[in-house]
Amino acid sequence: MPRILDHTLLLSVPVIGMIWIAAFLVFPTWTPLPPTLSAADVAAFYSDSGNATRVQYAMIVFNWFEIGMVGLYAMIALQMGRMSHGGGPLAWVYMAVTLGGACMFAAANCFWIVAAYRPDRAPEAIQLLNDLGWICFSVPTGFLIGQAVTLAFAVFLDDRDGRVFPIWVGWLNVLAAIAWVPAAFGALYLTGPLAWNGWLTFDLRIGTFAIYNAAMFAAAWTARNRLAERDLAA
Amino acid sequence: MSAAAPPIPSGMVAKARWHLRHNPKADLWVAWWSIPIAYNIMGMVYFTITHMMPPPDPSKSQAEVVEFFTRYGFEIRLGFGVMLVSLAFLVWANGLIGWLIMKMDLPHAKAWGYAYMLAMCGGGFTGAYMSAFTMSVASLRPDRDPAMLQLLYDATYISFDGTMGFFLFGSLIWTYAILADKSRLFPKWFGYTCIWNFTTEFLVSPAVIVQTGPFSWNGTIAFWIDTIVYIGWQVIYVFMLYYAIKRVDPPKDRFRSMRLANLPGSRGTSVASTSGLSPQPA
Repeated sequence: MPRILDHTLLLSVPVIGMIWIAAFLVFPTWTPLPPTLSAADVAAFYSDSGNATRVQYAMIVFNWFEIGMVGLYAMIALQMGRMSHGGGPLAWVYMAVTLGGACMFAAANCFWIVAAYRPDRAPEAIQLLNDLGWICFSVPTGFLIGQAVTLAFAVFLDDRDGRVFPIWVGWLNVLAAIAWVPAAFGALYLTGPLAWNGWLTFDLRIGTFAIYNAAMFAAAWTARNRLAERDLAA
Repeated sequence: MSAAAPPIPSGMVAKARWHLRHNPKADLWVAWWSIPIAYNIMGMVYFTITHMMPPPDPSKSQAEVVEFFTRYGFEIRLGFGVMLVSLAFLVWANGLIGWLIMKMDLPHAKAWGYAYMLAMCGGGFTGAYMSAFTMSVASLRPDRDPAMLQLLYDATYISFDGTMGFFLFGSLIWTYAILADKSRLFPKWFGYTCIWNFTTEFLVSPAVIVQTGPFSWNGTIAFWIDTIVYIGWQVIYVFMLYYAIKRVDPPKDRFRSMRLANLPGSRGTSVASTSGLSPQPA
């Protein structure tokens, strides 16, 4: 019977996931501000005291917990160290690359907070901060792609008898990497599916990220338990 | 350790599959291939697609900056999209080099390896990502206030040139590790060429102060000499890594030896004996 404290690191993941969802719901709009808004409209959005407060509260919560998923990724890196090529560089690469996504999210977070901090700034300046925020939030999927490809590669290299992660984890990571590619081109257009509020850049990316983290949580959880049983059996 | 591998088949795909399945250095070789591929994509993005390199004049007037972003807007955003996808694979290169440093025969080799990886990953974030964003945001709305476009233009090139500390430290760590390494994983002369690279990081620093002359961000010294030295060194290091991978012992995996001990009838091969500890007398 596993004691709950043995699983603190992994159990923090669903808690942080729920906090993320709550912060997302606090943000004034659940779809991104349209990129086609004029500078005056963007400035009006942040001047509205209701919107500004909700932006600030959502960003404070995101700021606290934005690095939270690193526990999940560290646990996955630990499992990668037990794979048949675990003594090589792949687990380190995975750990290093996961940091990038959180850093870019932190940058976006700062730009939005600054926009809401002094909404009586020149409207062009507010629009610039808003643009920087949405671009930093939407476009840097390269780290996520690198993360998924690294893990997929490690899973496919793993020994067929006695895999640490089942093969579906490899395919899931391949699919996730493909789903994140369009978002990297999110700065190309102000309208259409590739714009930062378009379905390829926003819905597909966020949806894939949610499913990916939930599935990887399940995979890390079972791999961890299975290996613990094997360690006991040895 | 594992079952005898079948002979290497002919044909490129079959050969690649054989290596992925049986070559104990498969992960190292794939990481090695990521270096020429990702750096070539990056070079193509900087020099041909986005027109970010060779850098335009820092003393451009606001009207000229607007013209620059208006003319190359789409290419800039397309190029950085391509770069953002490929950039994460440079982490494989950093991981490979950091891992090779860990395998060297020098005191605290592992710590030197971690330090290298962290320094270089930080450099990718500030040096490549921030400039990609400011450039993309500027070209997204070239009808913005020209003063703001100029701000983004300056931010692009200064964040690109002004965050060289990560690369300075990364090269410094690698240089020290190569020169102090008793196993000579990399030849000593290559350690001396790494000094070229971190010298360029010093030479580029005046670019954040001056707007004209050889030290400005498009100047003879701060851009041309530095870039030529960097690319030359890069070509050497791809070859040096090739020979280092050939020379290094394949990774020793804890999991593999643990599983070996689990096999029925092979109790003699315990974890202790595979990890180099002397077995306890019965």
